[in-house]
Amino acid sequence: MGPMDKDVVRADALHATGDGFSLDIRSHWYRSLPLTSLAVLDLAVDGEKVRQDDMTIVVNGKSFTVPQLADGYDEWWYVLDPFELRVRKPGFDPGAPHHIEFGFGLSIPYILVGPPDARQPLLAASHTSRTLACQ
Amino acid sequence: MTANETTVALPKLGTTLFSFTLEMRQPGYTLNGMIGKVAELGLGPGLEMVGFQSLRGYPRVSGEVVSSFRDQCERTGLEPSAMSMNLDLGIHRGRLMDEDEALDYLEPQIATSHAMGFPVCKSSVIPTRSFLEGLVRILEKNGDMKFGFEVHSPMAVDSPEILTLRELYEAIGSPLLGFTPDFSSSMHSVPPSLIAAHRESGMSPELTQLAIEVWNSDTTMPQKFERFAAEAPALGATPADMGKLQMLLTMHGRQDPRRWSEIIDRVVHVHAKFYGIDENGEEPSIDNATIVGVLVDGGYTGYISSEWEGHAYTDAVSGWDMVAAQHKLLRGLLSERTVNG
Repeated sequence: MGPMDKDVVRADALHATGDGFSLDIRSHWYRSLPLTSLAVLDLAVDGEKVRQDDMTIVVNGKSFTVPQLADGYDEWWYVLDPFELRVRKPGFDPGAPHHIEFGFGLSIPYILVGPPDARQPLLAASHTSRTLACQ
Repeated sequence: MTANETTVALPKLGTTLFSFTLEMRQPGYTLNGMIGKVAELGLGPGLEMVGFQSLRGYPRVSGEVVSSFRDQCERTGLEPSAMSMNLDLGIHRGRLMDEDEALDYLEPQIATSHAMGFPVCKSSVIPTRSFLEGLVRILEKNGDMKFGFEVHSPMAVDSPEILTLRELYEAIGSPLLGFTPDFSSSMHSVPPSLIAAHRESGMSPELTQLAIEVWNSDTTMPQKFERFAAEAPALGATPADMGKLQMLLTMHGRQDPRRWSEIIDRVVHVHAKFYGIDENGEEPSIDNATIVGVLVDGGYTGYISSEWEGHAYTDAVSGWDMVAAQHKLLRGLLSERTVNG
């Protein structure tokens, strides 16, 4: 883990929403990436895994479902902007601290790895485990 | 200067803004502010950037951003040195770009780099004659910009990819196609800053020692990986440790620095990669004196662009201080060559 991994989920990242919560997610890579690079979004809250169907990604003021990210080669996530990971979670308690486990995988489109006939983008993984209060 | 001494044309120093990857994340960051600080601290004259890092919306950049950049360079005396572009071959899920798509992807990046005043651009390539010929056509349309494929660890001047490119360059015969040597390919030891970071993260001294031994052995990369995979688990290596130490083997190459002379005629830009400066003002893992000697002897007069990459391991030092210290080291080495060529 490098210094930028500490930045993925900052202390002030958690917010309550009308139907659950959202997290501000920052990049652990040094340059802007397209939405197709958001390859792994494994989130668990208070030990409970969040289903992808309950996630919405908000970037540049636009909302995307997880499957829609696969077509996002021309939508750019600027390196200094957090994106908002919105999660539908009825009964979420905004007054209590919550434990976040976030496995984040960025597909790095210009670094190809693997055997010559099966090269694929490097997966740059980052893992965050921290307890946060809603801001 | 005495009658027997002659001046020689020397490389110029510079900096890539990539060195300040962590500083960029501090509150109050602006691109103009960062460029201003490069000028104020005397870390030019060469100014390099990664387009996808420094410019929002790149390669679609407004005329206003372009003219503001050019004006600031003019005002401060900084000189655009090279634009680091990216060839994102894997941008589509499940498939790689073909050659036509790849050229279409680079063209706007080259046009933007040219508009901003960069004389050189760099990215990876598809190593075929047709791709490189297509690339030359785009470079010619953009003021004959030069292109410098980066020779970065684990590659070296004689690795298969680079030998292929050297042959294709010769066959095509365009003066616009060149190389950007990166000092990471020609290191003599593992950076102490990296070892320290791994130990701080809880890795055992026995494990880091094994990695250093394997790195120093005269074996091929596959053999190094094999030995490491065989011996590291017994020393308690976790999968995360294995990943980090495999990166160590990949990101730091052991090419003899004198061998940069083999491609010196095609060098269009240089990355002075570094991972630390010790209390004596030296880079503890890279023989800068020998590399600078090769560049000067080879007649290279382009930019040596400082690239601080220790930020991948530690945020305990300032990128500004590190680049300033490396410039002092490089200036000293170049000043030894200003006379007696």
